[in-house]
Amino acid sequence: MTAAPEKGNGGGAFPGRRAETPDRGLCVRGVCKSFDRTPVLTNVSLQVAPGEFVCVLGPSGCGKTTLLRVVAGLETPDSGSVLIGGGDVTRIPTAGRGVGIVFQSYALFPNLTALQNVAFGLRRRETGASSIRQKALELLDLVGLAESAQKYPGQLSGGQQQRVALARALAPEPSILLLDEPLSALDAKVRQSLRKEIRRLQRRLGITAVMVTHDQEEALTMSDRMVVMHKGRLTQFASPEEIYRLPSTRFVADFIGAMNFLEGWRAEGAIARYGGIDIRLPAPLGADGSVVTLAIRPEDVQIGRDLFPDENAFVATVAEMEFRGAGYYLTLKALTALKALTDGGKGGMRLEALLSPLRASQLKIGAGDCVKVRLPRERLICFAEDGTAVGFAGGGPE
Amino acid sequence: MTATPARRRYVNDKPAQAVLLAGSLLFMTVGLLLPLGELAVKCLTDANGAYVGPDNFIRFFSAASLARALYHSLYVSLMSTLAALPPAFLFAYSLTRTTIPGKAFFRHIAMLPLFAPTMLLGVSLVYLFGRKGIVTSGLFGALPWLGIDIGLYGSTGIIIAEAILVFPPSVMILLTALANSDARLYEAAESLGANKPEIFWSVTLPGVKYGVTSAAFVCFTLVFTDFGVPKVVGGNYGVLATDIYKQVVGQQNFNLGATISVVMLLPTLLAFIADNWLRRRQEGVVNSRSIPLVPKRNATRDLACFAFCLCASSVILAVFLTALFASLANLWPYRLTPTLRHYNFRDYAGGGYLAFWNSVRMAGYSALLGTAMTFGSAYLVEKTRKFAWARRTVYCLSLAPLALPGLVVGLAYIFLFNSAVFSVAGREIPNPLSRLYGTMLLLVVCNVVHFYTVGFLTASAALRQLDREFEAAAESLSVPFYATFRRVTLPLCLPAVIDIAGYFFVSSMATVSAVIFLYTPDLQLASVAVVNMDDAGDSAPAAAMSILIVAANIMAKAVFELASRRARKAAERWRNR
Ligand SMILES: Nc1ncnc2c1ncn2[C@@H]1O[C@H](COP(=O)(O)OP(=O)(O)OP(=O)(O)O)[C@@H](O)[C@H]1O
Ligand SMILES: [Mg+2]
Repeated sequence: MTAAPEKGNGGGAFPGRRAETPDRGLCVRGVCKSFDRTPVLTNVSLQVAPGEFVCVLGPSGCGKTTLLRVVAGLETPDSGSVLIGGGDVTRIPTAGRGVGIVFQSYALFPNLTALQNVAFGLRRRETGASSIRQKALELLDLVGLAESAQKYPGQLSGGQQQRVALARALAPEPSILLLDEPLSALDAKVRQSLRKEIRRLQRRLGITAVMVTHDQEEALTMSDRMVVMHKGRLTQFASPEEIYRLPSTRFVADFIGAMNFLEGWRAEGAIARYGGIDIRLPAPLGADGSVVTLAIRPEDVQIGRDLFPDENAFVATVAEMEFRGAGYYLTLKALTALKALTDGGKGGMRLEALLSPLRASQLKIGAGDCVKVRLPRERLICFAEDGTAVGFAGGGPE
Repeated sequence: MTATPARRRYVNDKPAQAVLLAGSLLFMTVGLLLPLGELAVKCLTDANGAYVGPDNFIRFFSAASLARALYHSLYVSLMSTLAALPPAFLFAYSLTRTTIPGKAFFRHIAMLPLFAPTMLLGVSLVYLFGRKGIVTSGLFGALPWLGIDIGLYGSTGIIIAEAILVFPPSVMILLTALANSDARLYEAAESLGANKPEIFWSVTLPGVKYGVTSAAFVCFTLVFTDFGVPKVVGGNYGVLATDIYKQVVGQQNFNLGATISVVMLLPTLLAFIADNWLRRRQEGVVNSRSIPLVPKRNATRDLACFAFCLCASSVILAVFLTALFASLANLWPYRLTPTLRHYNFRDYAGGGYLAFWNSVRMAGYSALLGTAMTFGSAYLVEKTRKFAWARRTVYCLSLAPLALPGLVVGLAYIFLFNSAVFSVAGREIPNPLSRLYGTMLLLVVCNVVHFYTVGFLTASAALRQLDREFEAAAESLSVPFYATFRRVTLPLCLPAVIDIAGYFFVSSMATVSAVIFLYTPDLQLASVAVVNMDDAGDSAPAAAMSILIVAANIMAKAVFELASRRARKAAERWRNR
């Protein structure tokens, strides 16, 4: 899994810093929600800055949809509050919240044309009878469907239907746009182009948006900041780069992208020890002698043939080598202290590394080779036994 | 666009939904719960309103004639069910699993008995097998060898007529059961080398066994609670339904009438519960991956099935044509020249055309109110989110009428609406509801409640087919729920709505059991007129009135069918280019 964090949101590396204006945008405060005594949301708090695009990511059943429905007013939270534009809307029904929703099923009205669907939420008294049509057409034009205005949803492709649904949600000029897995029913190509389209529109209108997805690539590429949820709790809320680089818990590290976990290291200051290997950490850990887990992404593992300094390096054999298009995936077995590293018969320390094709051909590596492996100090992440990241500035939960 | 207000002007849906739910609950309370409560009171008290506990029931079971009526009812119900099920199964099998021609024709003919008041079957049988009947007299002496007297009056007549009466509903249930088949099972059985009879016993029958039990329960209940047929051909063979009528209308013994109706309710409730229990176990037999079975041609089997369908249809047609023939014959059996004089109801009891048009109006209003109530309630239950407990209650109350025989509903209604005062704890309070007695409104409400469940379930099924998020999407657009209902939900469910209206119209037009206690001399009804004219020995005008009811129903059904087809075509247009 290689998620290239290429995005162009122009909002700086951590646009979340803008969220220090709690009176605007969206604010969720300590929301709890249970169904039949089963907690689905536990103390979820979230602050989305105006114009920000936030993705909510998490495994199935973790409460993403429920969170979105609470924000929309379709579910009433057991406790906690929801603020939109600075005003408390917890007791205000959906109709009064000014939220636009895009559903996974599109939920387009099949007996109305695309134009009528978009015009559905435009009200005569506020918009004026003649300009309703005008405005609906403009919106259809905005999503590139002006020619299909008179078609019924059943006559449009899935991607076109989702565009109509987007136009319909945007028509009454909501202050917040909520999207629940809007792209998951579409095939890969359409999904790619709609991602860009949604982002383009959202930026152009400057609208605050929250999108639920179970596709991490989608979340990483689209969002200004993203939320990772786990079992009804908000685990981490940060920019995609930060979530990828500095996951706050072991769950996030495991859930997003690929990650090597090296278990059972003993911490001593800024050094982690394990069977004769010393690994220097970017910063000293709090308590000496505690057991920690080191983690590193496969693409951060450096492979060489004696070409780099010795810090955090050891020798390993290439157990497997697999071509995966963008590069080679190597399964490495630490060799130097193989005996010492043998971990209760589990076969020693195993590690995966991603090697670019160029580097692989430079090194002329093949399965069975002996290579030197280095774990760059600044790329290491360290987790305490309870699964939280420790010891690094900016790595902990917000 | 960035400077949009966070909040939007909106209509709060909650009060309106609360009012509508309260309306639905009120309707079911007044139309169902209060009458049933009054019925319960009546069967536990004596004529003076004093509490007597189970005395009425003890009297019932110790009176030989009444206990015998219970036995009779059970006997004819069982026999009619046994008589109707095999032909109904064969008929439904022929329509689903063979390649015979004329399936649509056969299906329509089989549904014909639904359009008639149940007395028509009795009257017609009298003209066929009665003392001066076509068969009994050997085609009026022309074929003396044919002249056999089957002893129609009594259990024989009841069983024959009821078997025809329950044919359509059992065929309908079995058609659904047989249509839900999985071709893969049959292929598997064939590849295992099973022969035709083995496949029938090991695949076909197990697949429809719940359909068969369900049809059996429906047959049993219908016969057990039917009033029209035993009234006409029962003779001295008393059953519970006719006994209730005799006690209440003849002897004005309301308490015993209530007691008998509770006795009648018990097996019906048991059948209802058993059927529901079995149906719940059946779910998941056919799933979305099932491949529907396409019948293959088989000359011998198809020929036999075709011949059978022809016979069954002929029997049903013969019954209706006999009634038509008898209504047109000048003086049965002596002068058979055609005349319309029996259609001139002036000289007979029952109210004549006034009664007929009353019935048409009643059926029309029942269709309107019934459709509005059932579809509206189903909409509130399925598509709104607030007031969960109220919606749950509405749902449960909506299922209850299915278990209630028409006679019980009608009886409960007179108890509630015909008493000027309630006596509560020794004190008398005036009954405001008694003002409804003798009005068209009460008849309509009675019909709506009587036929409520089928309409409600049809509406629920149609509503459940719609995307669950329509309402949420509309809410987020600040569109009030009634606007969404009018512009989206209703148009999308229009075919089902029309079907429901048709069902209410046809059922209300033909029903007699519930309304026979509620009509007044100022407000007579066609189906009641049939009973009264037949009672007075005027069989020909009774047949004529029955034929008018059938004709009105066929015409109404045709109109509803056309409308529903047009609505379906519109839905088609949304789907295709
Ligand atoms: N109306 C409801 N009644 C009862 N339980 C519910 C209801 N809605 C959701 N749940 C339960 O709450 C939990 C969270 O549901 P939710 O739909 O929010 O998950 P999700 O993160 O959106 O999952 P997915 O990725 O599968 O869409 C699930 O276990 C679900 O079964
Ligand atoms: Mg979801």
